[in-house]
Amino acid sequence: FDHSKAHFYRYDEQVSLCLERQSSSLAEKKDKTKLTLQQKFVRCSVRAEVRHLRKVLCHRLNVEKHQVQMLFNNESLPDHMTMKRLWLSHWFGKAQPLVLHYTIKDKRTR
Amino acid sequence: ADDDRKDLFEFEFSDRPLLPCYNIQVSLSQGPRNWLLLSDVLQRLRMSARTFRSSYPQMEVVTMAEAEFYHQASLSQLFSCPDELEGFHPDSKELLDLVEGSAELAALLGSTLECLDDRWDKPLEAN
Repeated sequence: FDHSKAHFYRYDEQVSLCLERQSSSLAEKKDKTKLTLQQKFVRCSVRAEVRHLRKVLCHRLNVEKHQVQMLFNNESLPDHMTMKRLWLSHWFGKAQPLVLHYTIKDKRTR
Repeated sequence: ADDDRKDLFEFEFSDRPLLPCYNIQVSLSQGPRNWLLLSDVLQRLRMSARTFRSSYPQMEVVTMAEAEFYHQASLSQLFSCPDELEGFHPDSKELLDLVEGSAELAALLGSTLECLDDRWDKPLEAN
């Protein structure tokens, strides 16, 4: 793959995020360090979508895609929502970074 | 040629709060790009401007008037919080040094990068 031909969205405006893990059950809390991002401050293009973020999280935490859910104020975020739309609808007028939560479901549950 | 073109999203990860990044057009010959304040970078690296410039001559540093910087930064909807640009003066004739955001700068600041090809998503979704 020739990276010189890639368009990295790198000249897009960038959004600054903080991804916090939300644990519900005791078992999840015990397992917290293993499935929690060590580098929780994230920057990406405003055109990145929730599904992209989920995918990157899966890669970093070594879990399957259906296990990761992105949340804002306990509400699940739609996969195709862009970071720009998320910012305008949920964070406009607030300071960076935008704080999002994620949950990691058990591998067996779908 | 478009078939060769890949659309890659870059995600920068850090264990420390990221330095502010401003989408600014610094010259008429190029569109807006992403810049960090050199003073922010130097503070985080605990390095002098002279050492930075001599150690990393390949990193682009540009100078612009603070008033122009403020004007462009304040147009962004991401900087809608009044506190974010509080330290800048809209009428200042002072000059600011900006350093372009790059993979090399991100690594220097202790971040790691993940690249994501949008088109990889589709077949995986179908699995």
